[in-house]
Amino acid sequence: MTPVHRLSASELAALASGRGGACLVHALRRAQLSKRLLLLKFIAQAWPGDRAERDRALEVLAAAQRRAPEAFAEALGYPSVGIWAARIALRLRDRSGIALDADLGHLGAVAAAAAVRAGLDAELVAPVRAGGVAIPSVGRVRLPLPEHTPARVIVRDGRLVVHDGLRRLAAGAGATRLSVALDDLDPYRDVHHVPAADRLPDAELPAWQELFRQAWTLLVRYAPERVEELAAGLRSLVPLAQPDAAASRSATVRDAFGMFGLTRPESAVDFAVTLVHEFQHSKLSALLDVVPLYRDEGEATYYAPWRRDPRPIGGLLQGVYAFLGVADLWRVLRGCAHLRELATIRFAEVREQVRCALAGLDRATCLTPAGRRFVAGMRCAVDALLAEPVPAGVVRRARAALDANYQTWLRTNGPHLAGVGVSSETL
Amino acid sequence: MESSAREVTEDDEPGLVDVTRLPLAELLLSRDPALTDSLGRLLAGLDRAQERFAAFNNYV
Repeated sequence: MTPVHRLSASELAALASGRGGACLVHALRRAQLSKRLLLLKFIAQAWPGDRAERDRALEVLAAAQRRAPEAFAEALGYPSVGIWAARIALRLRDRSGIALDADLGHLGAVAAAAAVRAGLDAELVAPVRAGGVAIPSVGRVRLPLPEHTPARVIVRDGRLVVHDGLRRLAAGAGATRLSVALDDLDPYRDVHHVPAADRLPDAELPAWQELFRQAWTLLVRYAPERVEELAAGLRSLVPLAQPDAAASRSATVRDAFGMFGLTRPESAVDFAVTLVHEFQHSKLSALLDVVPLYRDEGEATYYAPWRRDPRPIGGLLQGVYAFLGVADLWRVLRGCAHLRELATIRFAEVREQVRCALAGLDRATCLTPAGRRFVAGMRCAVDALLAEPVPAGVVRRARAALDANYQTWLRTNGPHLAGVGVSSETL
Repeated sequence: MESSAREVTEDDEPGLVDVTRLPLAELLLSRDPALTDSLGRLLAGLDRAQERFAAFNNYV
C-alpha cells in the first residue's frame, strides 16, 4: 500500500494551538518534498522541450539523491523551487505558457543546486536571466548574454564558481542557530504583492543582519518554541522593494514553504513579529496540502480586521492563524522590560481581532471535519489568551479600536455585504 | 506526522502520498494509480488556489 502523509488528532490539535514544534515542522517539510517530487514527475512526463536536457538534469538529481539524500531534499526543498514547480506544472497542463522554454530550462539550475549540495560533478544547461544564471540557494553566474540564452553550467566536485553568492542572515548558536538566505537573486522570487527588490547593495547588509540578530535574540529569550520551529523550517527571506520608507510589507505564498518576502523591518521587534507571523502562513499552507480544512468555498466572504476587503474562507483562516501566533508572541514579550507597554497594548488589540475573526470561521459552512477541529483548537488557544489579565483600560481601548475598524470596513464594503460572515454583535 | 497507512484522523481524506523514500528514477517511471490520483488532487488544488488568488488578491 502506498504510504500517505497523515496527521494524528493530537498533531492537528498541536498545530491548531498556533504552535506545533520542530518535529511537526520537519514533518510538514517532508510532505512538501513529496509535493515537489510529484510535480517533478508530472513536469518530466509533460516535458515538451529538449528531452536530452531534461534527462541530463534528472540524472543529476537522481545521482544527488543516491549520494546525499538530505542534500537532495534541501535542494529540492528550497522555497523558490516550489514556486517554479507549481507554476510550470500548471502551465504545462494548460499549455498556456509564455517563454516556457526558459521555465523548463530552470530544471537545469535546480539540478545544478543539487549537484553542488551533494558534492557531484555535473554539466547542465540553464537559461540566462537578467544577465546571469541563477542557481537556487547557491548564487548567480554573471553572463552578458541575451535573455533566455541556454548556458552551460559546470559543477566540479560540488564546486561552482559564482560571481554573486547568495548572502545569508545568521544569528544564535548551537540548537538556537538560524541561518537563512537573503534571496535577492532567484528568478522565481518575485511572487508577492510588492515587487521583489533588486540585488541589495553591500552597504545595506549590515543593517539587515543587525536587525535580524536582535530579533532572533528576542525570540530565543522569550519564544523558544517559535525559535525551534523557525530553525526547522525557515530557509529564505526575499527583500521587497520599498518605494515608501514608512510602509512595511511582508507576505507569504502558498507554494514556497519556508520563504517570505519583506521590506526591511523598522525595528527588531517588528522583525520578530514578522518572522512569527509569516511562518504561521507557511505552516498552515503546508498543512493544507496534507489535510483539506475547507472545500467548496463558494462566494461567501468574511470580515477580517487586518484587511480592508471582505476575505474568502481561505484568507480568513490564514489571517486568524497568523495573528494567533502574533498575539501569543506579544503575550510573552510583555516579559521584556523595554517592550512591556507596547506588548501589552498590542497583545490586547491582536487577541481581540483574532477573537472577532474566529467568529466568522465558527459560522463557515464549508469547513471539513478536520477544519472544524482545527478551528475548535484555535478557539481553545484564543480562549487561553483572553484569560490572560490585561489592564481594563487597555482592553477597553482595544475593543474600541476594533469597533472603529469594523465600522470603517462596513462603510467601505457595505454594498457588498451579502454573505459576510460576521456582524456587529460579534464585536 | 506518520507516513504510513495508519488511519489516525476521523476523515476519509485520500491524503498526499509519501514518495520521499522512493528513488527518483523509480518515481519517474511509476504507474502506481495512487500517485496519479494524488498528483491529480495536487494539480486541482493548485488550480483552485490560482483562481482564488486572482479573485481575491489572496496574498497572505
